[in-house]
Amino acid sequence: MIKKSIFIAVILLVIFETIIRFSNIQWDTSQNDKSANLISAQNFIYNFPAEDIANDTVIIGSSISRKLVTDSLGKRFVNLAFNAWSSYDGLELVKLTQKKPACLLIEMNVVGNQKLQEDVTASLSPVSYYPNKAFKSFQLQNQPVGLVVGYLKNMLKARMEEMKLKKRENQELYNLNVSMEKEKLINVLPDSILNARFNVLKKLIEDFKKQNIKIVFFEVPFDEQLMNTATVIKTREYFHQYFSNKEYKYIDLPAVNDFIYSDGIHLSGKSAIVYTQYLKTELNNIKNSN
Amino acid sequence: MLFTSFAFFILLVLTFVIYYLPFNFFKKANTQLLVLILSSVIFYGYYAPELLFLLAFSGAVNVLTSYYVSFGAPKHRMLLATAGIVINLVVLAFFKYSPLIAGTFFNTDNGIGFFLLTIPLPIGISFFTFEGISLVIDTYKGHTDDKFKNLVDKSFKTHIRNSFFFIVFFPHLVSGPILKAHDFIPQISNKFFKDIDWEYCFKMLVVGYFLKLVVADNLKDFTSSLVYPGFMTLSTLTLASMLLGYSFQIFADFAGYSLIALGLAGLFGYRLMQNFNFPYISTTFSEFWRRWHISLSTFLKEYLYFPLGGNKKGKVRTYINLTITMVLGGLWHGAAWSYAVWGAFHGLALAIERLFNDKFKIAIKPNSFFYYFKILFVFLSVSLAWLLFKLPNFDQVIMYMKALFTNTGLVTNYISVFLILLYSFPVVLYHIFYLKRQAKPAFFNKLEYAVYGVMLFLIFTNSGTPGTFIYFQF
Repeated sequence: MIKKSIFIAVILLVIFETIIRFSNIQWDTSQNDKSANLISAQNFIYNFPAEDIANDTVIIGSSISRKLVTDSLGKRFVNLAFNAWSSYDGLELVKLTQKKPACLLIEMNVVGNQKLQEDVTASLSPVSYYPNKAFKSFQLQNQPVGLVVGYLKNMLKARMEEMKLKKRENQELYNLNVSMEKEKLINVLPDSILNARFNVLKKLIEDFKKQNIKIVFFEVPFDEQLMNTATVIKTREYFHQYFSNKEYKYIDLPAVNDFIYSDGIHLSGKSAIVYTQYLKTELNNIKNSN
Repeated sequence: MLFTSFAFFILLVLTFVIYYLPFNFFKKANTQLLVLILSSVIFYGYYAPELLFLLAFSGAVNVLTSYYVSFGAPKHRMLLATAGIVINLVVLAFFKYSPLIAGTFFNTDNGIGFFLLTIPLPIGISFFTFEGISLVIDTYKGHTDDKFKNLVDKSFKTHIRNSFFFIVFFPHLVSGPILKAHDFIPQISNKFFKDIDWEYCFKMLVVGYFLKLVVADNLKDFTSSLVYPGFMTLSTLTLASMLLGYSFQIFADFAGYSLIALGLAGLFGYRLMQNFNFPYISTTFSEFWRRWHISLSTFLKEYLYFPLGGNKKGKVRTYINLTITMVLGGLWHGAAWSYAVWGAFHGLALAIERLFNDKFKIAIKPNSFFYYFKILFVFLSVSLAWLLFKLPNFDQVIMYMKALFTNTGLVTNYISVFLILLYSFPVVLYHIFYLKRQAKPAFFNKLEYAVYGVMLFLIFTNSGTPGTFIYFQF
């Protein structure tokens, strides 16, 4: 019985690996926010050759930047912004994989805990690294259930957009989201914690700068009610204090009322495209000014 | 150490190889138990070695008490056993219930309240403390009941080894099953490689890891939104599916852990008690508790419900005893009043059910509509009560219930609902297979290897993001 079971498992594994290798599935196979994060991280770790990254711009940030429509920027952009995590995780991942991009586009909205997520660390450990690199079927983006989800998402794309719009139109829900976010953003972290976090960020970013990686900071707009909260203002101040305008490039924040937000904090579909294009233009301006 | 970690895998392989090496069986040099004790100590102290002092202290108290209860002066036996139990409970209360006591009776901003709040909860303390209590009580009972005789060896050295092994054996150390001394200690003997029941171990390990890695670890990333205030913005359908998902997750997580524990113990020649027996097919609450976390429910029955008088002191006392047992059982899980409420809910359900059965004797045919209706009723009631596990603040439970009925107009993320149901489905199948297998055993036996093959395949290709075990917090 044991031998037969193992035989069945091996056969299934071989068939599945073959299908994955010979098909070019481009669906979004993430099943939830966390798996979306890990798929991005694993993709960066296992599937991006270091030499290909050398000319790319890597976007680093939180769920706020994850909403950016990276495809509209062209092939030379990689989005390493993570849901519920912060810029630190993306920066640390770039550092640990030793894949040097041409430019790091760093979001300033959220400065979270500076401890690399265990799931990312696990993906980097040799125990996961080598099997995952060798067998595509072990990677999170190729999970059988993920493929089913990817197929469904692809099929129901229009319906899902419609639902998102409907969700956005619910003003009561929007206000509830904004008030919940506001409650979080009103209380500023103590300076001791912020200084500790920014010292870590400074060290990381300075190291990248020394390696001739271009650093550009940007801030994604929020709903006006959240834009003026103490945490948002203080975080911005800290960035300018730790990374002076003379040494680092900043992309100016556009007028926040020109955008529509899905929940007060994340840009909604069309606004995400508009803001992404704004970023692209500003980046080009920075490049041209050099 | 987690059963799902690579470090554990290495420890397991090394322990297994050394355990069955021939030199272990030389006369007077039986080192098998020492090998397992050593690897259990590494297993427990891997992340927090300082906790080993507590484990050693707890073990020493129980080893000494049980020895002197057995061989000390007969007139002091009762006193010694009581003292042993009290020390165990005080240690448990100090580490586990300090935050609850602090929050209820003291100002937690400073002073004693703050101190109590900062006391860490040592992993597995509820489990090894109960096992220690079992050792003391069983030894005490040994003087009057043959079932409990000869648990304590005359040689103090052998007794230390046996008892400490009973408490620390790594498969059950941090999350059970809670062993009883009279079930486990008689199993201690030389074990041989040729005697391993490979098929039993394989089945336990494959189902256990499948439930944990594929079902529970995937579901956890959906039920993680079941926190305040996140759930306030979710639709009724999402909230309902998350609640059901959590019910399946907690089963898959804990039953998965228990099955892995059974499989691992089997590799070393020991049989641990079955901890879950398809609980979601229960038609009554009492049946549910005969099938869910069996090692805890039997422990509470033997060491609490019976000593309280059980059902021997009249109907009213029986209902009261049931409720007391379940409230304390609830508090065993965690230091928050919501756990006591959870226990009270189950205690009252058991008492009302008993009262109902005492008044009306209704026979229900298996496979009838009412039979399935009862399964659904018990499952939904139990699932609703799990909310008290997930949201330890009672106000939030009320808000969740309110949102469940009022958020009907909000947009549902159907993909998430679909995935919650999809990942819950193996647990439903697991229970259906059990029911149907009894009717057509030959058919299911033929299919068995294919089912295990598919589970193995999914363990490798569809495991969720790594997560700790829910019951570690207890």
